[in-house]
Amino acid sequence: MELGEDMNEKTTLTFAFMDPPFESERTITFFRLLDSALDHGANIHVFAYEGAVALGFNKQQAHGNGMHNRDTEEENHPLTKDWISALRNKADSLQLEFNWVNCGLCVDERGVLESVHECKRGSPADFWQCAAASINTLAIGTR
Amino acid sequence: MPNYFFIQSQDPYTDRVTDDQFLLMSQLAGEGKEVSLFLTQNGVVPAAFQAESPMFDKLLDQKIKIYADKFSLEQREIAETELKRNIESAEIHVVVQAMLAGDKVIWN
Repeated sequence: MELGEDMNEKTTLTFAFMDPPFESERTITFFRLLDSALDHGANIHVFAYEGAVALGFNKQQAHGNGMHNRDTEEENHPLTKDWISALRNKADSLQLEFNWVNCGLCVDERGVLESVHECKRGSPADFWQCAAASINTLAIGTR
Repeated sequence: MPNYFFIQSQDPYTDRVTDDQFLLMSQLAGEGKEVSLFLTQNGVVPAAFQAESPMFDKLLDQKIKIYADKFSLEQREIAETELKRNIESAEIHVVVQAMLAGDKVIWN
């Protein structure tokens, strides 16, 4: 399938992800995959567990970099909570579903209780249901 | 029979398990399975012409479609002209296209 082809034929993909916001290049690759999936007209289910439940933590804050004499605006520090919101906005504009579920136990363990509104609380059973309702599922494990 | 689509983020220089992953791909292709490989992150390193990885090089002459993530290549300043034979630079879209086609997509 080429990019932009069959945009009216809605399909759903599920992704499971467990890496925290800023520690691994996998996080970047994961978000690139989500963006590409929307470009292909796919509805998206995400099940975030372990450290990944902090991706949508609402108290993430951008900061400057005194070592390089850059203020917050110049540093333009990326925040994963903003990427989640941006993907949700993109999905809405394309009339696609963007369903993000955080593992509740993992949230409690880490105390990251305040997430952006795009993230819902759930359990591994949600992952099973999402995978069952999808044409394909990709689990990206931490190595 | 599913097609196998591997996403290779690990490299053989820092992760010993990588050679076993390459061996699995080789065996699947050897059994006549349809196998594709998308190199991303440090997974693109053995694709560079100067890189030594006998297990990876074995895949180059098998019936395996090998892609290297353009973004990861650029990050590591590996030019497309520096890639080994039978490797195609590609956008990450090929992964999503494989998922939508129903391939068995596996993250390494």
